[in-house]
Amino acid sequence: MGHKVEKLKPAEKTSSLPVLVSAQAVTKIYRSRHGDSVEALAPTTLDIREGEFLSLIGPSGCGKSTLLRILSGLEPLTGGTLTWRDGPPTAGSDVGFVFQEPVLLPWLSILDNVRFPLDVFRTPRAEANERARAMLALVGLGAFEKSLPKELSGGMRQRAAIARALVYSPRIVLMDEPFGALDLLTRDRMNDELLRIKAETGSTIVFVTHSIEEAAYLSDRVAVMSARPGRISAIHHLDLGPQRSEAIKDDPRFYQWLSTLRKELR
Amino acid sequence: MNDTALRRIFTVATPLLLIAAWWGYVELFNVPRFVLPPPDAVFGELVRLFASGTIWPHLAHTVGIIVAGFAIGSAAGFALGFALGKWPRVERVVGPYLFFFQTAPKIALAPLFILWFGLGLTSKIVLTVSLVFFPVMVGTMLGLRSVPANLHALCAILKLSPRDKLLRVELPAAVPEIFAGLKVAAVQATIGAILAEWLSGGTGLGYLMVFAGTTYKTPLLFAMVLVTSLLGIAVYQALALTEKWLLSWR
Repeated sequence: MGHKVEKLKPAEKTSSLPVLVSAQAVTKIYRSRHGDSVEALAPTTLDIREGEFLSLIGPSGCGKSTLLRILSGLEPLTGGTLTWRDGPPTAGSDVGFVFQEPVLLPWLSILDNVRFPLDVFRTPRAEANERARAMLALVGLGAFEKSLPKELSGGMRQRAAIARALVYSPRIVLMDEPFGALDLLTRDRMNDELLRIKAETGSTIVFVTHSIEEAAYLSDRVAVMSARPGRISAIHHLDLGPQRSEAIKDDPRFYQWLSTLRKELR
Repeated sequence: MNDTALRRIFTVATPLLLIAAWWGYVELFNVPRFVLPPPDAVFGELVRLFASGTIWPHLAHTVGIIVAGFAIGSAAGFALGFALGKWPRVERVVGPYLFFFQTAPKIALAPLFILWFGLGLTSKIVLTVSLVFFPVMVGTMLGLRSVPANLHALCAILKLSPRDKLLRVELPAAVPEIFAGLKVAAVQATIGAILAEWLSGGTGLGYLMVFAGTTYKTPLLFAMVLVTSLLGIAVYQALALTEKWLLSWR
């Protein structure tokens, strides 16, 4: 196959985008109460580039969620360094995170939920409302701003959660299997929505999934991970062009990528 | 005939039938008034209590104890429940004592409260407080502890200050459990106040019941049972309505 395959090289020459965050030999070791230690993430080196869509794909226990949580600051790292281009994220508005479940505040309306980060950051109310409404329109929930989360479907709730993660224009958006709980049809629609949102906002997105097709469809680059200990076994730059659409699923190159990724995950 | 119409008829008919059966029984078997008074005697007593104004000082006394006991008890219960919910280590220190006081029957403590705090209002309020305290404490603790892990993670991502986290996430999330505790506490407060008046003093609905019982004024006793039941329902409903308003999102 004629694809460019990078094997854990420190720099990716396939991309000319500036590096947003660089992980150097990042490790995570969990210690149990009895003193046993489990290496959730073996020394991992990865550059995340400004404006790219990078997927982390791999079986359960490969450390993909751990890596994401380390990037988010939710988990401290045990070893290695994370270097951010503009210094480590210190403000709440630096990182956007989308969980597998929508994690909305059930007592707030959809508008209030999306505006929640801006309220916490003390953004003036008029501006906050304007930005939250614009984001709701972007995710196609403009007509539902007064609804409560329980009144919406799972897919709509997740769209609201995505809007909440994007409303404050974070430096990086981290998504932990955001569509894993949705049915296949909704998932396909959400993928197209996400591509459209990405095209409009230009956000840097790191996306954890265990769907090969989802990773190939969405990503500029795919990092394939393997388990015990969790590590990145290969990083691929997908030459499927920046403008993705349903049509790409008929492209032979898309099928080649699916087969390449599937083999590597075996 | 549709369901709602049928239900309405039952709502009116059932109590009327019960009253009719009661009345019929008293008339047919010539039951003495001090054993079971007829409904009209109870109703007459009720009207007399309110028309003459006899009831007001007693009702005010009881309501006062309920309000004071409920306010102090839920404030203290909330404070300790808050500490236990936010800092589980506190439980290691106070846990065993809490368990002892929680399981001890408060009624058994009532004579002790009278010995310690006298025959006046204080001992009555203390008894009510002791009944209100635990349900509110447990509700607050459970509510704060049941905040989902994902919400904590969201707060960490957005770097919420502890104050913002508490006011914007933890307390609103704990409201259902806190209210479950408050509702139980409200019923307990009513029981506590009446029981305390029953044990000592010369005012209050509880005292009136003892007085009616010991002097064979059975219609008065029956009227008092009605008044205290209605009071309990009113206290509970007041909280249920507040809850409904606060939890309209559920």
